[in-house]
Amino acid sequence: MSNYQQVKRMINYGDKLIFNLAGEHIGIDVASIKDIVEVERFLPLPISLPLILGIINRHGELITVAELSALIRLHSVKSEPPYRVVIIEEGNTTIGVSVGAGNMYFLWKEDIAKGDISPVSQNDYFKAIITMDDVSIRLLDCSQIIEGVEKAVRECNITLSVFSPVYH
Amino acid sequence: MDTSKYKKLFLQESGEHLKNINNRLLSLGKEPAEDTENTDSAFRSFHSVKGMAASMGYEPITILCHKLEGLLDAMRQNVLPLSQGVTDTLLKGSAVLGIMLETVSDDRPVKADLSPLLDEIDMHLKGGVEKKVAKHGPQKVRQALSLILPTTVRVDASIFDTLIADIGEFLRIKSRIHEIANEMHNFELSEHIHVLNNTILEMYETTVSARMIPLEDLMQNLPLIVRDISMSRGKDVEFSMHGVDIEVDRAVLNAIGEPLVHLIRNAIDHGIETPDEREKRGKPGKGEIKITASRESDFVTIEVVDDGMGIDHQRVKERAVEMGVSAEKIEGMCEEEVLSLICLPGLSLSREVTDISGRGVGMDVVKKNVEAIGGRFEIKSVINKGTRFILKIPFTAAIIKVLMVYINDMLLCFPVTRVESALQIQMSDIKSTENGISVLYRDMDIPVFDLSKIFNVPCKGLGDIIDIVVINHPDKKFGVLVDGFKGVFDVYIKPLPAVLQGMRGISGFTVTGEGDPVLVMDVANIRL
Repeated sequence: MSNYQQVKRMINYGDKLIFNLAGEHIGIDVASIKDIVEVERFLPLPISLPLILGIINRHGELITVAELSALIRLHSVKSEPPYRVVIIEEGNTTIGVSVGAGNMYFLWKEDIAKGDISPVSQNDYFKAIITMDDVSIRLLDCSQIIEGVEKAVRECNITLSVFSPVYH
Repeated sequence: MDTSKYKKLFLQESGEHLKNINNRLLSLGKEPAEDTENTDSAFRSFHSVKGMAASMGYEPITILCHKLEGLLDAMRQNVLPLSQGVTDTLLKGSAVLGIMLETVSDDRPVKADLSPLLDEIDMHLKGGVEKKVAKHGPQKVRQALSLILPTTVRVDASIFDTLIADIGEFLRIKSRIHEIANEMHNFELSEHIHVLNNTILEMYETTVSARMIPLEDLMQNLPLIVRDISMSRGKDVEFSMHGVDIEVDRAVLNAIGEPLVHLIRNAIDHGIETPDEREKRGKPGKGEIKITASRESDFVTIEVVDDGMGIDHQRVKERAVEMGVSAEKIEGMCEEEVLSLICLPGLSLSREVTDISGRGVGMDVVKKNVEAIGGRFEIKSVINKGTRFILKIPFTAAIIKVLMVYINDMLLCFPVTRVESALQIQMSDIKSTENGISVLYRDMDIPVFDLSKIFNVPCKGLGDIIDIVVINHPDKKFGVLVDGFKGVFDVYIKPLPAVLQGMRGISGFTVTGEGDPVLVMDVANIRL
């Protein structure tokens, strides 16, 4: 089976959440979504990594939230409160991505089947493009998103250091 | 030997064996095809109880089990045929064993006149006591037994994890109710909450004590592992463990099992030299690996020490540069920092990959696992003298007492065991130094740091009165500027999400009554 067919087969079988971010239509497999929450603020972390907005508490589970536009290198769309966070889960790892305040809607699998799909090659964070009524929707690869956040945090080599003395 | 601490375990295991013995003996003759299996199983159970009783010094139990096992063995060898009389004698024996275990449980001396029963067994073994035995079956003995529930129960350890998490949730809800009571100025409610708090903490302590297990339980296979690996590598190693009777929370031990095995493997494979090499270096042919454990305050220190070849600092530096670490950065590192480079993922000092180690996989996992539970991992090594791996781990990883402070409007927790004091000082008491500011604390100038910069939250600015928390860091004391104290609380610590694990300086988080997450500082791992 060709890569194209594999992707088509994979994406035809699931509903999608679509949102508009920096003028682009982005899709996420509903099966990977654990929750969608709106929060006023994040608990800041002692790291200077613009990609990481902070952490939130979801029913006792601490979720690290990343700025999706920064991760997928869209035009800088800095989120503002209230933040809309899509919580995604792959395997045992859960993260949140802030998706801005743009339109959000569901695209059901029956509708997706009517559209055109094509696989995306050599892109870290997208696995396919769905074209529906001349609208292109880029479908996120959630496992790559999680890996991207983990990698960024890992490379940050976080060690809390009180190197900054008080100014006076 | 003080066997009192093993008594509970002896009774628990013997009780299970006794249950098996009774089931097996009662099944004898019912399904002839299963008689061999039933006889074997009852034999093994008597044998196990005999061994344990001998270790504990319960001589009458040892003698009884030895005789009964002999009777079963004769049946296994087809020397003695199965008969009602033999079965009755065996059941009588199990009944006597039950009574003896009860006396152990009641802390009474295990004394019994076993001679009639032992004679009966001997007569069976010599053959032809059918009638006599049948007349004095086990029923009379069994009448002396009462129906007693076991004093211990075996439960899945995960039940304690759930219980502790639930107690943590109780604490959180209690905090919220406490806040509401304060807002309402309801002192009667506050009084009840105080009692509730004590009850919750008692529940916690009881539950955590049930989850505590001695380090030696985790390490009991290490001598065998050392033996196997050293033999396969042609090394001669003396292995010893000291202080491993310290009890530690099972949740903590769960995280260090794999790291300990890895450190031992590494010590044998890369640390200890072959006997020939050792003798050339003027060392005894037999290498030494020692594990020592000690407890200080809320932490347990486990050291894995070998007297092998040590770690070549220069080689660590070279390998780190090959891995992409800047040479300039490495040159500025102290000895301990250089050694910690061996925890970089993929960095191996070995020129040879063996089936045991050398692939650069492992030391990073050791460090990650230890830090994930709020511990600290250190390495000290001297060429040709040996290496010391030090794991400092909390003895429990659940509820701790913290000082909650404000950094602007963000909350942050410091474990009270690391808080030297919380001060309010005059702005005029602050001194300027080359690197920032300091205050005089107990005749000593200590630096003061502003965490708002590290957390990227706006600084409130300094007023005339300044709140400072003095932290007792392993290297030196320092002060942290805060914007107010919320108070001291017992909080349930949850681990950081997987994405953030490895973040040094934060041991986990807790959740306030309102549901807001608050980070808990791991003071020992803050870099100064």
